[in-house]
Amino acid sequence: MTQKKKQSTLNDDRQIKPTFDQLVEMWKEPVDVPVDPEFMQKVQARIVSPVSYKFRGAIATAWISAAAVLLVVAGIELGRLMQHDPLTTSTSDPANEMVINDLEISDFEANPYEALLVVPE
Amino acid sequence: MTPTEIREAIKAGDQKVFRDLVTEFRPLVYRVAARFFQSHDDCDDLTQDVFVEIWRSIPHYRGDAALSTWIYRITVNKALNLVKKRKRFVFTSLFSSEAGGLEQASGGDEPFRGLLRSEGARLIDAALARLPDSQRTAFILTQAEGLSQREAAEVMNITESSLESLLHRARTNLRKRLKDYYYQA
Repeated sequence: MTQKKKQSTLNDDRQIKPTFDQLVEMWKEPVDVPVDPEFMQKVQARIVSPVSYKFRGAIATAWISAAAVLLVVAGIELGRLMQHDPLTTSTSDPANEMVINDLEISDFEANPYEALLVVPE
Repeated sequence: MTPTEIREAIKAGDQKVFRDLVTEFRPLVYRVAARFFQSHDDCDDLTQDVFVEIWRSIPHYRGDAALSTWIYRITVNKALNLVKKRKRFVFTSLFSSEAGGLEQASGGDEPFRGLLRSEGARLIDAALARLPDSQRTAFILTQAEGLSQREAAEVMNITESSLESLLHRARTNLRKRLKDYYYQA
């Protein structure tokens, strides 16, 4: 039964599948070379500038995208500067800095909780 | 014109001689490119690249090999370089499974402008793409381009016996990879 089935599969293969050499012959079939009247111009353009037509578009797109990103970033920064409010923005007060410097108090000594750690006698 | 005269004319910037050379050899370069790449755009791009290289390198052409041998050599080198670049940048699971990979590679739903090739031809293309570069090149030059073993060996800069061995291995490997696709008596 199995032998019969195997034989039948082989027969099917023979009908459906090509031989290896036939497969190679199919592969050997000539490739059509399309006519391109602009081919020489394309080559000459690449001799002048080594970038191909295809990549020229990609490079131009990349430059435009980079410029757009820069513009957006510059716009955001400009917007921030325009909305800047000195009352709500924490900045160091130069007057306070001067007092601390005059008293020669370091950051460590100016710790406000230090007094709580001192045990009274 | 002899190859040396062609070289001297192109070296001197003779556009007409270069144009004639492009007209004469474009089909050869495109045909070889089409054995490595399945899209027209890739083949066209590679063909342009080869002629740019010819324009630049012709002063170094010594004239000891036939002009066609020299052009075949440039074409094969450019094609293999592009194949390497593609492999580096594009990870493809095309051949993750032997049969599935070959079926997919031979599939017709390509998003790009594919070359018109039969199913059998596509199967061999896909299997060839998995062979080592040297075996693939030897097979293409002798089987598709019809070069003699001596000519192909000259293009590849190897001995004839090495070429013979490469061809034998290429056929054995192709048979192995395509075993499900052809009838074996």
